[in-house]
Amino acid sequence: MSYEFLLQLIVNGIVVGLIYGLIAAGLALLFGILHIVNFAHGEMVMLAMYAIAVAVPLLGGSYLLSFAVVMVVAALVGWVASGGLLAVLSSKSGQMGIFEKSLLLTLGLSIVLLNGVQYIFTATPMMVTTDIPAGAFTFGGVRLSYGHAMAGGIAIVVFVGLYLFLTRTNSGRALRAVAQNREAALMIGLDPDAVARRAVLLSVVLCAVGGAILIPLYVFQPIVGQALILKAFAIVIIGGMGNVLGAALVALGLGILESVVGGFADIVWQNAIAFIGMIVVLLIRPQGLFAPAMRKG
Amino acid sequence: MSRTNSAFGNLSLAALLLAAGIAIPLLTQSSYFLTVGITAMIFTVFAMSLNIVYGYAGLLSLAHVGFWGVGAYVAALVVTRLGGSIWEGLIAAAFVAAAGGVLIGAAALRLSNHAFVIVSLCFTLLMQMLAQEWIDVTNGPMGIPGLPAPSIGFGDAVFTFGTPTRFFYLTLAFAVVSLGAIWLVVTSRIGRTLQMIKHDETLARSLGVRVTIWKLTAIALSAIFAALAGGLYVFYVTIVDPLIFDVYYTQVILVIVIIGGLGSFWPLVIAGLIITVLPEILRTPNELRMISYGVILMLAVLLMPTGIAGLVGKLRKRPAAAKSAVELSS
Amino acid sequence: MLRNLALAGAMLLSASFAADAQETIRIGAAMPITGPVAHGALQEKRGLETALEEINAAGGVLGKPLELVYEDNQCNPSVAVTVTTKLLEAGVPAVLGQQCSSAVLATMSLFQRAEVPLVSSIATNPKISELSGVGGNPWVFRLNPSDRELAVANVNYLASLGTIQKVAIVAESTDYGRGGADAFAEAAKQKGLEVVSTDFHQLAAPDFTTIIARLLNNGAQAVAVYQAHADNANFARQAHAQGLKAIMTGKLSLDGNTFAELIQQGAYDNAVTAFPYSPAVDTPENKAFTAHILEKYGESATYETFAGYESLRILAEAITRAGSAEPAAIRDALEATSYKSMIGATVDFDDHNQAHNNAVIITVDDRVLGVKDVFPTK
Repeated sequence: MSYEFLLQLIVNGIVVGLIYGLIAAGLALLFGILHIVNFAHGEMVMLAMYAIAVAVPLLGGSYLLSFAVVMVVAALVGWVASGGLLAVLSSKSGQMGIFEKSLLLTLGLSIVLLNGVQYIFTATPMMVTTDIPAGAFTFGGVRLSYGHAMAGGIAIVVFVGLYLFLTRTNSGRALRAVAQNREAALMIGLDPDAVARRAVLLSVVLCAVGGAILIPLYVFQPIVGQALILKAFAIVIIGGMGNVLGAALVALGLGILESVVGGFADIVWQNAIAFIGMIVVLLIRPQGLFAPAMRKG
Repeated sequence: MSRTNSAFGNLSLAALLLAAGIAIPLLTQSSYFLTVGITAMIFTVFAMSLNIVYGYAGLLSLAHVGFWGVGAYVAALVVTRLGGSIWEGLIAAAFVAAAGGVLIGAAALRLSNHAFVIVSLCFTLLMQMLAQEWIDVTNGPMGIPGLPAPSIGFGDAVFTFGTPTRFFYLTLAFAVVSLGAIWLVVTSRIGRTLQMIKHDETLARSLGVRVTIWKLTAIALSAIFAALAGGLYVFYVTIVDPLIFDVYYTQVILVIVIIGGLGSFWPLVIAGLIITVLPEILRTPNELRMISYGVILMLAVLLMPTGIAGLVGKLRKRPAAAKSAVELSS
Repeated sequence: MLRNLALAGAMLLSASFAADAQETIRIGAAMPITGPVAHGALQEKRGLETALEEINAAGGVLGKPLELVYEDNQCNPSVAVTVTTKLLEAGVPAVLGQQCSSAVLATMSLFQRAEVPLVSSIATNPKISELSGVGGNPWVFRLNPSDRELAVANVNYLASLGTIQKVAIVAESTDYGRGGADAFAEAAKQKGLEVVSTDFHQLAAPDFTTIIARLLNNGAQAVAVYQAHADNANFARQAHAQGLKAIMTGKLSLDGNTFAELIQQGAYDNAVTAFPYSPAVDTPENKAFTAHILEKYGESATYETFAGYESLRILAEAITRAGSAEPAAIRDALEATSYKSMIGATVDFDDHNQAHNNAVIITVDDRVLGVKDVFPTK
């Protein structure tokens, strides 16, 4: 067996895992804080990609500037949407729970977004050329392309930032408090609604970052969101649906495992891993690997 | 709706739809219209199967398209690989789906409702993946084409449902029998028990109802009808491929069930027929049709989560809970 | 109410067709207007429309103008069956296209049952001609060379370079991908090239990192691809970024702005492909055609544009020879076709209803796309 090959696969797996983790983090956040399932998550990443693709020629071809602009727009959209979302979810019409309602709403939303973008842009492959040169860092026989390095680097920075935010800042701690116990958080004076809005905002921005780092790597079409969301869901389920950092760890593990298995065996097995992991976890430890034991309810 | 005081209403509505169904092929030779009608009836039965488990038992299940697709593939494989007839294929499909439903239920019902939804979704995705990757059995993305028209009889006395008109009547018979069977179930004690479980599971348990068994029954029943609908559908289209699991079908039946009204019967049947027929009459381009389904789903969840039945119910001012409480005690 | 609706609808439908039957000849055109290969349908439509204009400007066929009825098959077998049934029910005497191998294979029996000819000009799975003509389905005709013939030419050229011994295959898991991969593997075996790996991926798979890692590791000197446009571009971009030096080969359709950019960036250095068409084929007719398309649509002609154009011209010519717009007469006339294609060869059908038009070897030398050779596929 070639150790160089194995090492290469592991390095690849780490990068791909970091990217998946970024996308899954937003999903985990939404479920943890708001108990909502966001089926439109992949489409949000896709929208960010198309937004950057549209922005780049308008902003003189600058990828960095477009990245920044789309980030700001995403934050604005997230803030506005969060207000609407909370209003919708807290209305008590009918017997539908928040979970159910959010599932059906976001299912509808994802179809609207996907077909809407396909209608406007058609399925013509989209490519955005950036200043990132084609080439790679080489360590021994292992290559890390510049695009992958940048994507991985940004993901690491975001995760570190997220960790610091969640553990060192008041806002972050408030988020975790509400996720763990909403009533208790209310009792100590936290405003769950404000916290929830911040969670939605964060989730949308994370989607935007996820999409942005994929831009230099992929040639994409409107259905790019669908494949991404499948992985994100698997990660969040395996890691535990409220657990952002758990999601990050699982993402890394999944990325590495997928890469190694796909490299040595048929590519088919690569996609099967996420599935098998998801099913095993659901049957044996349904709350996820990193979540505390779930009370049946 | 209690069975006794609107028996006349139910029967006359059924008779009306049946008459319309019988008349349509006599009025039009266009196989296009017949196709629309066949699709409408099949989708209505499919949506009604979701209604059993979601509307009556209160379990949101995304496994339905999984059962529909599994039914389609099993029926197709029985006919093309094992040389059986479509009837044997459909029976096999029903069995496999029921077994699958019981397995999923047994595995997932002990979890919270949230987890159940996710497990049901995983089932459908898993079935889709199997259909796409297990090339040796399912032929993967290439699909299994050339499914023969259903036929009955032997030797020289064979009658084949080979024309759209004949298939229309076959589907009509299927729809009448399926919807009739489902109607009998949901208006019987089974249906009322399921509704009680939906409204207040703790109360049901305290009354000695074995909730899990009832839920399993609901899942198995709904799986059977979804599978039968799927099997019939692919034999009309004469081909089955992994796209039978597409999220499009999940959307359509969810829209029908929500617009008709969770736990209703006739409003759902009407909703099913209209929602399938309307886009065809309007001839909207593909993407706009999908967008409108998505928008309708969102609006329905936001504005009328109880569906047409709920709106009608509010007009009549008859709270459903009180009614079922009355029925339980009688 | 339902009755009246159905009655009204039926009357409308029959009225519209009755009116049209005297006015135009309606030809069906099924293609993947939406979905992952929608790009190809857009191009095919351009070719069809161009031919339609020319034919109708010259007085139409049998004294009547032609009309095209488009249906969207989404490159999906079951949808193809549904829209084909729609077209056949609408009474069109012939259908063009389907474009996707899976759509053609799924609907071949429908055409046989309805006794209406299908003229396929883009689908390349070899099975299609195996199942047509003598001993099979006499109603399906194919204008373009299959992947088998193209693969043979492709491998021959690679072998002639003298530097390629190891090839890898990367293909989508569809009729098209698998058929092409089989054809290439077969041709490679015949010529003594070693196939070091074969990977089948889902349509629209976003990430090829693992496959590329495998190719970097197993010493593949060429990668034969059978993928949809978008997947091909995605794969090429990722391969280039990750430093894969193996040359791209297989079925490369390098038309359009995205590919032009990728070629400039070096993602297709030394690529070689055997393809049914190139806008750079040097014949007067082709030059005029490509100039016209460029002027009219602002984008260069592609294989699909060419295929759409010639398929309608050949069909119109057959109808004229048949002297009638009846499906059976058209079918017989098609069998006797002898049409001079704009890329130089004469299109006529062998006993498997397969034409043997010229094909081209296209290479990328010094980041410039060029036609290396035009060869017959007879």
